This record gives sequence, structure tokens and C-alpha cells, in this order.
Amino acid sequence: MKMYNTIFVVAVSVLLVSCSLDNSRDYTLSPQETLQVVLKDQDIVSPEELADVVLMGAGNYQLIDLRTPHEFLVEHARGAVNLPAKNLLKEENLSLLNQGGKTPLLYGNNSEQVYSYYILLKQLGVKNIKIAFGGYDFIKDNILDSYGIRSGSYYSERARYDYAKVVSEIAGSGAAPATSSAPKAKKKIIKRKKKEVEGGCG
Amino acid sequence: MNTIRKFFIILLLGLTGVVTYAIPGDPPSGNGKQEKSAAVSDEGALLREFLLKSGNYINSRGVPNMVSAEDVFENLSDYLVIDVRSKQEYVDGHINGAIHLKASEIMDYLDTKTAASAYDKVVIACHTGQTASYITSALRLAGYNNVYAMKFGMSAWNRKLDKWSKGISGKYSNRLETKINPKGPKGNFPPIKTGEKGAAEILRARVKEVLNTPFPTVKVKADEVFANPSEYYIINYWPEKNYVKGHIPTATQYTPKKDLSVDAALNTLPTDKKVVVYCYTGQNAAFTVAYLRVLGYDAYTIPFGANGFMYDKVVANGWHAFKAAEKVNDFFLIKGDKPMGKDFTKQIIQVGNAPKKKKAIIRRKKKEVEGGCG
Amino acid sequence: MKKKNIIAVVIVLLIGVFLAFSKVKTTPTIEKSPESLFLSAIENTRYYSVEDVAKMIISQDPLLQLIDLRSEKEYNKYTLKGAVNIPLDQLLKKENLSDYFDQDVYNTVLFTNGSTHADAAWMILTRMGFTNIYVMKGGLNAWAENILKPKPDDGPWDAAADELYQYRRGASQYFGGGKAVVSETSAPPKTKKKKVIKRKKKEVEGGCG
Repeated sequence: MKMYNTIFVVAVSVLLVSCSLDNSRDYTLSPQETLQVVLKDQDIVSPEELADVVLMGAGNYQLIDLRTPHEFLVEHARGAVNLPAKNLLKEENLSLLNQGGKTPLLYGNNSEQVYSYYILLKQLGVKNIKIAFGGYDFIKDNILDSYGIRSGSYYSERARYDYAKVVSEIAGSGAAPATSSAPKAKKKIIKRKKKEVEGGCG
Repeated sequence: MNTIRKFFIILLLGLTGVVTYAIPGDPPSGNGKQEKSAAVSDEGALLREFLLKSGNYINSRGVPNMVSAEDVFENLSDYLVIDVRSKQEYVDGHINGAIHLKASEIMDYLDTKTAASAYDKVVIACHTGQTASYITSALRLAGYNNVYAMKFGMSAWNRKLDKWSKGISGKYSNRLETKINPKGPKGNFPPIKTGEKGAAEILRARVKEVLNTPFPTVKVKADEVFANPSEYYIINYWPEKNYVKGHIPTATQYTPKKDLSVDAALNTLPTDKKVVVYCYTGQNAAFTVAYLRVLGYDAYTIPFGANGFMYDKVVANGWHAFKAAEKVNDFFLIKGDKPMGKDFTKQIIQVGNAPKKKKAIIRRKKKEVEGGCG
Repeated sequence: MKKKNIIAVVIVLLIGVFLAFSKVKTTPTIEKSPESLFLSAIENTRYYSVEDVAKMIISQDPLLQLIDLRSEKEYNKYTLKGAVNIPLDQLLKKENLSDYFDQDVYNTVLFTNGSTHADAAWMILTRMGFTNIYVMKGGLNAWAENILKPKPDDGPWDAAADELYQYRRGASQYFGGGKAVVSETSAPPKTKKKKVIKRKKKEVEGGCG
């Protein structure tokens, strides 16, 4: 009898452990590691590389279009396959992105959209992946319709203006630019109530 | 008893199995290392194919991409003007808001210090419009497609800077011939070696090379060409009907917007001889010379074009003749080494002659669709 | 039941519970699952337009917390009124997390020159479980184009577009150091998702050959 009791208890505890481990998906990178990926900025193809892929089909890339099926149907880059963003986390799509062979090269509606999904995918362990900024509009306006890869807005994080100068221009004469030495005042922080663990068994 | 024991053992084994499958494994890492692309064996072929696929610039609709001085004057707040003359000339007098750069610095400036996309137009200003044309063509080939050359350069901006009137001459009007010289035989293209792996990168490297080649070194005076025509393969870049009216002895006619395409008569140009291109004002030729140099040709232009050695014929035929009275304005010049002048408002008041054109807010960039069938 | 057995059961159960919870990260907040994070990302509810931010600044919204994620050098050159500087590489420093993000009272609006880095920061912070985090869409580039130097729409006149343009002009006056033309109670017109067709004029070359 005693033995059965202990076996029963062991079984229950193993069950508990397995439940906690049974996440349908888990992060592979820690927040700190993810931040390093953002700072390194190394998976964004240059405008020239993008032009090579779109116009010459060059490189070991597979173009992936994250827009909706309707947008894709209207027009898309030649050779691209459609993977609507809302389906990104489906198991078969994740493994599609991870298989060997051609490197997936993602583009979407704009830079922000594709970058957000890129960061999410990196956190989930997708290793070999590249992205293109500017969205399909950039491909159409600055590669397909006319070659203007360096006159289009590609790297959105580059400052396009000297902001202080713009302010002084519109102010007319000598208005001080709106810089602010904001005090790092310790605001009254209201700690949130700790929420219960998400997930659980079934 | 035995069945209960068996039951628990099976349950335990089953849970162990569940645990093993529930823990997600690391996804396969895929082709982690990017396949090292082999060095390109024929860069020239790749470059030429890319030029065709990216819009066949030299034959595209907007070429030569120029804006008048009046247009610049009216749109100073929306344009970025880049003055490429010497620093001293810039300090002595420049367009309000213009910045001073060397040709070789422009690409880096437009990529990192500002964004070409922030301006309606980026206008290059030089003395006569020819250097600016050379630079504009090179930049456009590399994908900076909102760059324009200011037509006739600073000579059109203010009469104090008029270098055009001195360049006009009719000294060789009586040395022209009318016989038709055929194009050379179809041959090879010049070799290209940049070390880059992709077509667009090769193009960019070639453009950089061209921008690092100062424009004065790609000029050949009319005197020299008339004295030693056998040294050069001379291209008359006019329509045929004008070619037959009189051209430099031994010159061959190539039709603008057609013949110099990679898939047209480009391969009739020699790769072992200097190629000289001339047009009416030297500006269109400068556009063409930049393009040819990007492709590896040893190409040159005759300054001021036909205006510089057969001016009276140009006028008589109604071709593009430079007339100071028509072309030169009286726009204000800013002194000093800062782009903006404090006397900016004076500029508006002082120029009474400027035509009060309605300022067309052209925000949309006109796009050029590749024409033709299929 | 014998006492020894009960103690053994309790100990083993505790071991099981400990094993289960040892998988959880040792951060004070509870992480969002990938699926949940993905859904939040798809909904695009994290964006404030530059007009929204202008309104909050002008009305001195006490719940606004602006975070400039660019370098110190860029921050000193120009930033939005009242913004605090946290260079992106210091985002996850303990004191920054506890001072600015680990709370749910203030609306934290992140911005950079564009949107991509602010979006990435939003992703990381939201994954870590912090809430009330938003992104200024288009960043300072959009700020310069729409608020500092607003341009009138050159299509056919549209009431909503005109209202928006007038609001932007007022905001431009305010931020340019001129007198505030905008009354603090006026709300920016709702920037409807007007389908702006940025199709550029095409000139079709005539005919064949």
C-alpha cells in the first residue's frame, strides 16, 4: 500500500511539472538578447541587395510577402510567396521559415510592420532570416517603376531633417529650439498587482 | 493488486512520454551560414543586364534631367541646392540655402547627413551646367532619382558669374563635313572589375569611381579634336536630320534616347580608343559621358558642345543656342561660407525682372514609365 | 494514514510545485506569451499619431510620459517637450525599468527618428509584461513633416483634411516658439484612416516603337 501511495504522489508531481512545461511555444531569446539583436541591426538588406533580388532574382533569398492575400493578388514582387502576417505563428509557417535552403527575405506594408514581426520571430528562435524596409510601396516606386533606391525612404530611423534647424526656420528669428532638460523626477509609482500565471493545464 | 500496480506504472510511463513531447525542441537552425556567393566572373555582363532591367536610364524619359534657374529660384524652400564649384567661389557668392560639396562627397552626404527623400528635388549647381550634368547622371544611375542639374549653371543665376558667354565661338563652322560616317563594327564591351558580388553594388561602385574622376579630366577641347581627329571615335549625339547638316570630320551619328542602349548600338563603340561625345550645349553630352564611363568606356565631352565651335550654325538652324539675354538672370547671391544669408528677404524684393510665375506645388514626382511594347 | 506518509506526500508535492515554477523567469513581472504578444502586435493599438502626441503636450496631459530612445547627443540637439532620454541600449537597465516602465498609471509614449526602434522597444517591454506602453507612429521624421512643417493636401478640398491641416498649423506655431494659436481644449480632428493613395503621376510613353 505504501508503495502505491508514493508512486501515486510521484505521478502527480510529474504531472504538475509537465503541465508547466507544456507551453505551446516558448521564447528562445531573453529580453536582453533581443535588445542586442535590435542594436546590431544586421538582418536588414541594403537597398542595393533588395534591387538585386527584385530585378535579377539574385542571391539565395526567398521573398516573402507579409501583406493580405488581396493586396498580394493585386500585385507583388516577382517570385514572392504570400504569408499573411496573421498566420505567422502557425506551426507550419514557422518551420517553413526555418528550413534550410533559401534565406527568407520578408517585406510587408511598411518598415515598422515587418520589423515588429521580425523581432517577434527572432525571439522565437528563427535564426536565418532577413528583412527589407520600405514595404511593397518602396519596391514598386523605387525599384520597379523607376530606379530610385537612394531617393526613397528606406532607412526610416535615419533623421531626415535637422530638427533644431527646422524649428529655428519656422520660428523666424532666433527662437530657441524646443529642447528640454527633462528632470528625471521619481514619479509616484504604483506597483501593479501581480497577475496569475498564464496558461495552466488545458 | 497487480492490476493497480500495472495501472500506475503505465500512467507514469505515459506521463513521461507526455513530458518528452511537450517540451518544445529547438527549431532546426536552417542554413545558418549564408552560402558564400561565388565571385562574379563577368561583372560587365551583370551590370549591363541590370541597367536594362532597372529602367535603361540613359534612354529614359526625363534625360537629361535639368531644371532652370528660375525654377530653382521659385522653389528654394523645397529644393536642396548643392554647389560643386570651388570653395572660394562658393564663399564669394552662392545661392541662398545652397551647401558646398565636392562631387565625391555627395553620395555620402545624401545617405548619412540628410535624406534625399526629404526634398522635392536635389539640384546640382556648377559654372555652366556641364559638371552638374555629369554628376547628376552618375547619381541617377546609382538610384538617387530626384537629382537634377541646374541648366547653364550659375551662369544663368547671375550675370556676374556668366562663364557661358566666353565659351561661345564659331571658329570651326567652316571646317565641318556632311558625309555620313558609319558606326564601327560590333565588338566586345569593356571589362569591369569592382570586386562586388551583386549587380546593384557593382553599379554603385562604378558610379563612385566616376564621381571620383573630376569633370575637367573628361573634357577635350574642340581644338584638340579638330587637330587630331584620328585619335578619337567621335560621336555626334544628334538626330540624323541635324547630323547631315554639318558635323565634325569623321564623326558618327548616334540617335539620342536610342542608340547608346546596352542592347542597341553600344557595342559599336571601341574599347581601345578615346570616345568623344558632343551635343549642342555640352550638357546632354556630359550626361552621356558619365553613363559611358560607368560602363567602362574612356569617354570625353567637348565643352559647350556645338555652341563652342559652330555657334552661328547653331543659331541659324534654331538649335539650342545660348543667348545671354534670354538665359542669364539677376538673382541674388549670398556671400560667406554659410548656406543661409541674413538678407534672404532682400532677394525677393530686389529681383524685379523675375517673371511672376504661379508657383506650382509639385509634390508628386513625375514618374517615367518605360514605354514601348512588351 | 501514518504521519510519515503524509509528510512524504507533502514534501514530494512541494518538490513538484517547485520544479513547475522554476521554469518561470525571475523577473518581477509576468511575461506575456508569444501568442498574446503577437495578437497585440497585430492589432496595432500601440500607435499614437504625431497629432495625438502634440495634443497631449499642448494640454499638458499629466499622465503623459515621453521617452526619447535616441542617443544622448541627438536628445540634446532636439527632443519633444518633457521627454526623458533613455538611449536604446540602456532600455533594460534595472533603474529605468523600475522608474518608468514598471507601473500602470502613466501613458508611456516611446519615440525615435522613425518607428522601427520604438516598435522593437515596445515589443520587448510588452513581452516582459509592462503595460500602458505606446509608440509615436512615424517618429520625429513624421513630427517634422506634419507638425513642424505641415503642408496642405494638394488634392480636392476635403473638410476633414483641411481641419487637420489647420490644427497642424496651430501646433506648428506652438512648437516653433511662436504664440500658442491652439486653444488647449481643442481636440485634434480624428485622423481618419483616409486611404492616401500615394500613387505618383505616371507619364505613359506614347505608342509602340
